[in-house]
Amino acid sequence: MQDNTTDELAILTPLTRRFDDRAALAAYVAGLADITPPDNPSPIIGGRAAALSLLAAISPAQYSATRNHLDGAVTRLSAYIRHGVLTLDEVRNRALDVVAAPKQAEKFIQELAWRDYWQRLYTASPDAIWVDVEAYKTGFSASDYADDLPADIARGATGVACIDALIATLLETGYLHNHARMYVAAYIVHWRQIKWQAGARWFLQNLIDGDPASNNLSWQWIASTFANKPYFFNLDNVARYVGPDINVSAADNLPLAHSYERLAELLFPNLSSPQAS
Amino acid sequence: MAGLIWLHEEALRADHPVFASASGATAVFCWDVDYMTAADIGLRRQIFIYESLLDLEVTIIRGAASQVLPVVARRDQATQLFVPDTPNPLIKHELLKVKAALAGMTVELVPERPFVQLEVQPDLGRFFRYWNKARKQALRRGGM
Repeated sequence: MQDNTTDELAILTPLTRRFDDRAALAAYVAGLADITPPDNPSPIIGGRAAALSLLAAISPAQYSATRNHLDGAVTRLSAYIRHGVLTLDEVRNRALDVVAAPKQAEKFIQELAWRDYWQRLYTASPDAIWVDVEAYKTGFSASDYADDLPADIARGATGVACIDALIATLLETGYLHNHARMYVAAYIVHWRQIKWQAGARWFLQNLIDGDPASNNLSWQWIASTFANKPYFFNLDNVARYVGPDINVSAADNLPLAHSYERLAELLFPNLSSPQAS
Repeated sequence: MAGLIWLHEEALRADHPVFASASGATAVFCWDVDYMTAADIGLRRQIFIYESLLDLEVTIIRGAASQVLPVVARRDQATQLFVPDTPNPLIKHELLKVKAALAGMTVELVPERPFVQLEVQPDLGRFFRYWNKARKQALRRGGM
C-alpha cells in the first residue's frame, strides 16, 4: 500500500517550467530523453508569441512571386501549424486581411490547402501513410529500392556538394525550404534508389515541422507512388533557385549535371520517355 | 463534474476548442519519451514542443498517458476526459489504453477549427480534385 502511494506521488510530480534560458531548457529536455543536448538551439522558437510574430509578417503576394527560391518570402509557419500553435484557419484569415482581393492570396492559401488535403487523407486512412499508395512509375518495382538510408546521406557526406549543403541545413536548424526538401528527396529516391519510407522517416526525425501526413505523402509524390510520374531535377534548376551560398559547380555536383533528357535515360532506363514533373 | 484534459503534441495553444469544451478542467501533457521515439519526434522538435507548452496552463508530467492520467483522474475525482481529436494512430492507440484504465469515465474528442467546411467529403484521389471542391470556401474568412 505504501509503495503504491509513493509511486503515485512520483507520477504526480510535475516537470519544471522555469529555465534561465533556451540552452537550459534544451539541456533539460535532452536529459529527459537521456541524450546529448544540441550544440546550437534551433532558430525556430516554440510558443504562440513567436508564431504570431511570424504570422504578422506574412506577405501572400511576395510569397507567390518568390516561394520557389530558397531565399524567397516563405513564412516558416509550418512547425507552428503542425503542432497546433496556429490553425490553418487563422493563417488563411490573416492572408485575406493583408491583400486587397482574395485572388491575390490564392497561391498562398492553396499551399495551406495542401496541408488540409494531406490531413483528410490521413484521417481517412491513418495506418496507410507508410504504404505505397500506388506502384512506382519509374520503370522499377518497390523491391528494386533499398530499405535503409545510407550513412553518407544521414550525415550529409554524399559528395554531391549542393545536396550535402542542404542536408547540413536540415541537421543544424531542423528546417528546410520546401524546394530543398524536393531536391534531397528526389536525390535519395531516384539517384540512390532508396525506398521513400527511409527518407521520410529521417526527415520526420530531423524536421521541427515533421508531420506524418504532409511529409510522407509529399515523399510519395516525389517517388511517383502518389503521382503520375516521378519528380526529378537537374543542376541548372538548382542553380536557379538556391542562391549564391550553395556550391552549384558541375565539378562538385557531377550526378546532377546533365540535361533532363540525359537524366531520364540514366535514372529511369526502363521507361521510354519519362518527363520531369 | 470535474473534467480532465489530455493535451497532446498536436494542440499546443490556449484557444484550442478543447479548452472551451472543458471549462475549468485540469490540463495535463504527458511527456512520454517512448511516444516521441515511436512518432519520430527528434530532440530539436521535443525542445520546440516543451517551449510551446510553457505558454499554456498545463501540467507537464513524465510518463505515458495510460500511466499518468488514471492517477490524476483519481486524485481530482475527474469524471470526464477531453482530448483534442487527431488522426494520429499512435495517440488513438494510447487513448484506448487510457479508456481501459478509466472505466466509467466519459471521453470526448474535440475537433480542431476546420480550414474549410464541406458538406460532402471530396474525392481525395488527387489534390486538384479536392481543391476544385474546396477553393470557394478556402478563399473566405472562416472557410464557410
